[in-house]
Amino acid sequence: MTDTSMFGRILSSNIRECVVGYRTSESAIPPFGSMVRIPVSHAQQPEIYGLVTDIQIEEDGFLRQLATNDQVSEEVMLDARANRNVPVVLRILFIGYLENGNISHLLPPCPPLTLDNIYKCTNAEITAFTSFGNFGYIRHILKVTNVPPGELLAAHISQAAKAQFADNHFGWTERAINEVIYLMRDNYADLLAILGAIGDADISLDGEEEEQE
Amino acid sequence: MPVNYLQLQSQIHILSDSILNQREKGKEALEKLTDQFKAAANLPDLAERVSAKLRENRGLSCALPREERIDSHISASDHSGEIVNILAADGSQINPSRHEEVSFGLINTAIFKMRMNGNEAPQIVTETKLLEREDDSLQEKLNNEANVGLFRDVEERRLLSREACKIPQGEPVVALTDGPLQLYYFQEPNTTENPLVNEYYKALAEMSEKKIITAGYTDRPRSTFVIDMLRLLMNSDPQDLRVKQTLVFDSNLFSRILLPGERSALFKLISPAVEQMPAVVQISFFYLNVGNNSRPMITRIEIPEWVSKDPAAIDLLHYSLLQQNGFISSNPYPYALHRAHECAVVQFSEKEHVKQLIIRELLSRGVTDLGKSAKQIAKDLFGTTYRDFEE
Amino acid sequence: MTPAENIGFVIGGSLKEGLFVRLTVPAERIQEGAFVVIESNGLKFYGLVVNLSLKSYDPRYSQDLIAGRMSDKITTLLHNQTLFTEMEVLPVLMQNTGPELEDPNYDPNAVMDKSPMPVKTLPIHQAPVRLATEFDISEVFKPKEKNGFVIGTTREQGHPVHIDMDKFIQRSSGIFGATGTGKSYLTRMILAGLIQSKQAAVLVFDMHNEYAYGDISPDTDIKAPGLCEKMKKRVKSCALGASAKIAGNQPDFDLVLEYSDILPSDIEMLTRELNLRETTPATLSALVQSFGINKWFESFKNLTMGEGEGSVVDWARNNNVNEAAALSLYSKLERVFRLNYLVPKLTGPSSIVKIIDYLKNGYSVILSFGEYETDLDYLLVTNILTRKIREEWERMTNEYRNQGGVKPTPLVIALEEAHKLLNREMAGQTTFSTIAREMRKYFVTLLIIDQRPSQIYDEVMSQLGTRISGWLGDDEDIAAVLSGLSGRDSLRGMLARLQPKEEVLLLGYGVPMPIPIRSRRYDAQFWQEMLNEDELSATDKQKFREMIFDDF
Repeated sequence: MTDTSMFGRILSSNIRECVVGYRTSESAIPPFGSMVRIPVSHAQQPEIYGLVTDIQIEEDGFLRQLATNDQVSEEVMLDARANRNVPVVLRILFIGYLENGNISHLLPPCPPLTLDNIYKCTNAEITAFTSFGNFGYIRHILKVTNVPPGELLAAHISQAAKAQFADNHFGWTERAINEVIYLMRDNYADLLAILGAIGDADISLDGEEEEQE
Repeated sequence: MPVNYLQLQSQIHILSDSILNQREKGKEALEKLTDQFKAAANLPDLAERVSAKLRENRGLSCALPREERIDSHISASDHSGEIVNILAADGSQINPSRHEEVSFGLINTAIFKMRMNGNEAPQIVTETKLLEREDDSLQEKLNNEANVGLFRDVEERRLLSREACKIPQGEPVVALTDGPLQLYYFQEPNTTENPLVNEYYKALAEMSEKKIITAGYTDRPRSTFVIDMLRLLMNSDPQDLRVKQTLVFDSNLFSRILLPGERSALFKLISPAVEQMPAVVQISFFYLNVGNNSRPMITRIEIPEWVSKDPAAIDLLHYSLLQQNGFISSNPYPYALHRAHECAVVQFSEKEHVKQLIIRELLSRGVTDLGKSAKQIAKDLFGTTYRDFEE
Repeated sequence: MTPAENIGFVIGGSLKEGLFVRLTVPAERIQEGAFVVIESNGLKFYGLVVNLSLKSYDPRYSQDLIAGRMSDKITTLLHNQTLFTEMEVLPVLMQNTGPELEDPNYDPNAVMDKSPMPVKTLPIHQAPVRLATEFDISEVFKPKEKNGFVIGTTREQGHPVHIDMDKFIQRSSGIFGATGTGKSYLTRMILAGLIQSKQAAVLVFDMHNEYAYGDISPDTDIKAPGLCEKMKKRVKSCALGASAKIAGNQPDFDLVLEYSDILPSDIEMLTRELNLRETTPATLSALVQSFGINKWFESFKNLTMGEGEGSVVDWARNNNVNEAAALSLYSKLERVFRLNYLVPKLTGPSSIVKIIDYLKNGYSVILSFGEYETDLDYLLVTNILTRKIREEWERMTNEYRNQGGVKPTPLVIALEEAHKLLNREMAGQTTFSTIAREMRKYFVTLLIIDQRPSQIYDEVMSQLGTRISGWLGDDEDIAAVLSGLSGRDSLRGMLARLQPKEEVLLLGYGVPMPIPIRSRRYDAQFWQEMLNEDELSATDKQKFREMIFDDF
């Protein structure tokens, strides 16, 4: 998924998350933890913000056949990588929504029923959403059940931090980590696991200080 | 209602008997035909003999030998390392349906372009066209489907020609379509001239000028052109000749003649429909074994006149087809054609999406009385399930 | 850290246990004994930090060393939120500050009592806590212009802390601290302040000859000036014994006692010192009966040992007194008979009368014991003198109250080694315990200076108003200093952790709330401020430089 939209089908949805199926090239598959925006139906309805919490590449029989060959030409390999749309199932956790230009960190009032387009959020959208309020959306991430919350948080914070830097906002990463610590400090083991994952991610706190200097 | 399996049981048994019976007869026929083929191969002036027979029996379809002995089995030269542009075209369609909220036709055509030994990622070009809605009578409906199919075929050739002609001179171009080279339209007798056909000719003419090696690829052909030629040679009863036999196909015959990777001799395709076509698009064909020692797989390759006169082009085509099939050796089929098909196919979800876009546009313009037919609604309710991504 | 910055917020507590505060600044910035202020809904609470403890959200946060497992930055963020310091605050006073200007209940005309009062309620949860500012300290310690004496400064920010001398002299008070903790220098400052304030006359029983003309510090070898040197006009020096000198200095006068000054109770008080028997009171009684109250001592002294008329034995027989008892008493009183400062009759005016006259007229007197350093000297002389003073002050007070005479000059008697005179055994016998218990009605109070407060009769200790204590190591001594005071459990550790010679704890009647302070230096600057000396001669400057008492 690039900046252009991609459409597919809602396989299932509820008020907390949805599962979306579509075809896309390997290079356009959204990374784990990235932020996406899903319009619900018409322009008047809220747009839902979500995080990609799982990516399943469905079996592609054709690729399997190619793979069993002794020799595969360079062009075929390039084709598979660049052009070939693979069936992808994304699991998207809702973290908030945008209604009439106002951001909310609550769960959306209604889930998407049909899927027209799914957009990868721009840096400006990521910055606006993650800077809004006081990190209320993080509580949704911490309750995720299909992946370790620490991994998801680390991926999300890593992406959001880069967007914040790009938008010349500093100090966000430290505030985000502080909020995570505040929410999780009653649970020692889980918090340490989360901080360990964040520590392993490419997240620079020192870089923010250097920028400020 | 569920299938009445009880009724089927005995019928399956009878059918199987019939099939086995046919296969036995086929085996016997094949033995005979093989002998006839070998004998014919040794006949001098075979082509004149067949031509004479055709003049005596006008309106028949069969193969006409060309320069190569009919029992030739030819291997391709090695063109590995050479830059060759392979293009493949395919299309898919949505047929208008009066049962839907809005009736519309759609053609989606895809061209898959790969530059062998160029180390580039293949490119894909797709074009999508909505067809104007026709009247709703039954006859028109049939015509509509046929029209949509014709339109699709023409679009495939047109786009293929356009993209092939874009490639700079100097690099060989092989442009493939699936199925016979001639339009399906031409297979119907007594057809009146259709403006779309001119489009088709124009596309072929363009490719001819650029010496583009274009071919139609038919997988598992059920053609009997060569066998009909043998029958013509051996049989003098005109009535008999007009009865199509279905016991043995050319592919059965050539599976005994061609080793894996070998092509047959080139034959000219003689048929009333082809005779209507301009000279430049007169079709020749050869059979190609794309299987292996344990399982021969015979395909038919149709080529236009300008390609059939160019042995080097035929050889390059031969080599390229083997290479393309070799990418999916477990199930040989040209990679480029497969990819073109993938890119052209319209998924159910996409069809629905297009329909919704049209409905939204109409709603915004004040049209509010759109709805499915009762029949369609009932069908939808009955629980038609669709696989996630493919129709 | 600016004074007005919040250092934490209230998380719990009770009137019984005190308040618990979560610190929002690093623990090392706050010390035990810090004076803190909590503002809550129109009330201001003044309290003392009495304990600091390290806490964590989960013990594992503090027990596990995670620094190596993740980056320093993340570790810091984690620790900032999971490790904290809890402060226990002893709330002592509260003050009604009324609603703020922005509050709808604000009424500029409302009259309310805004003086600090004992704590009766609690602040709300999460009320902000800060260190006291100079303004807060002045609100609590409220130095009245004349009578506020700066005794030291707060430990955190060096704000001056005053003692109200008015209140100080209204009750007996004490200065305590283990040996070498600077008690005598502190006493000098207090005495100087007292004298300067003119709120009372002071009689100092200077057992070790320190106060009149100063002495050299054994630790620093620097001479500290004496009160007589610096306050000549208001302080008189007196030496025990005729023509006695005080450290080579000529006193203003000397003290000599007449035999008639000694009462039997004075001798009874020396029971332990002289190892007198149980028969002593009877023998003394018989002597008084025989010779009269004014003559008994001289007469007994003039008796002889041995047999015959004029002997002790003879007298005993004649007066139905046990001979052995009489002989024993006589022999044990030999020490007293030999005292040089005891004479049969004074040739000139009575020194005691002189002392009393000075004191009545507002002068302070320092009685140095000179070469008379024994406990016997100390006990005898202080008791006799104090008895006479007490009699005189009682008389003056009764006259003042009944007949509208002149109000007696308040008198403070400064008593060193007070445990010798005020221990449980002696307490009933000396005048001092009476003074401690009762004499404030008669404008006489004690200033007890001692290093073993646990030896002092607890009834006396509980009567003390202001207590100023340096470091104490003994638990019993600590308990004694705190006896009779609320919140003593919280203050216990504080006493043991004072820095000797640097810090003292003020508590009791004379101070609105307990507070540890960095005590003022008894140095040239002190005297400069006390005496408002604007110009110093070169000689004086040199002198002061030499005299500067510097512990460092």
